[in-house]
Amino acid sequence: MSNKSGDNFYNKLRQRQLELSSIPTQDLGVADPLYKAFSAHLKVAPWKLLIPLALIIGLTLAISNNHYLINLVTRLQEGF
Amino acid sequence: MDQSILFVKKAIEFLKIVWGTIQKPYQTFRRLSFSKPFLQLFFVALLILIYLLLSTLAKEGLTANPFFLTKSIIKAGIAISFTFIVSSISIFLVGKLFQGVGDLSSLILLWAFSLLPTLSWFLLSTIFYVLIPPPRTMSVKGQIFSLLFLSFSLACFFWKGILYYLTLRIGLKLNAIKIFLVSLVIFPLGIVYYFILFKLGIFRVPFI
Repeated sequence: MSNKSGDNFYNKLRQRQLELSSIPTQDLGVADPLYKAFSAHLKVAPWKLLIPLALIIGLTLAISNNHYLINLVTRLQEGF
Repeated sequence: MDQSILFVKKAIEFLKIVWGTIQKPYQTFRRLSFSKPFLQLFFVALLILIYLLLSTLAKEGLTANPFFLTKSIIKAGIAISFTFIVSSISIFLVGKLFQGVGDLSSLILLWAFSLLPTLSWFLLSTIFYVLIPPPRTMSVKGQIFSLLFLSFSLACFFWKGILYYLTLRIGLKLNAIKIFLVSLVIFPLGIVYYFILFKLGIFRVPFI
């Protein structure tokens, strides 16, 4: 009796394992714990960190120099 | 009928990849590098073509001469293609100098998908250029829009940064330090290239 579903599952598992091991791990020495802590936030849903960061930078620019913000956005809008 | 079903299936796969680059960029790029779905590049090219059509119409107007419109689209298309080829090959060669391991085809695939934030920004900018044309003013609405537009631009820039990093990390198996060193070589070259294109009047914001 053939076990096709088992074979398929094994093949998928093997492909997944090969995919996971295709990228070598990296060791950054002293900076390793910091890098791993930071990159963990960017591996899954990085927008949760990046969108608030973008808003904060935008707000900071808006509060510090409104005219520069307006000029910058005008130039960006014309830049497409 | 089979062709249209296949097209729809591939389109859905492309949308899953796009969502993956937003939600799980590392896992998505790793999967792309492993499975190498080169057919998906068709949809990236299609989005670029849609952008070229919209931006040319937005800049020149609907009543412009069709020959002139076609000429503008072809000129912009050549510039984008040339920039993509030059940047892919440069990243590949500089990455190899720093003992990168990988083939050019994988790198081109990943680099093409790293155009998604670029395309998002350019497409939305084109739409806003038509709906809310510049210049911006110091009114409350002008300032709120400016803040939101700048935040969106920064978010796309960060997204691009992540995908650039992953292109080198996964495409050439470089570690973070080597990626930093490659960037120290690539970025000045990119700035010179962009400056030349800016002076030639081809790009104001680089399509990279």
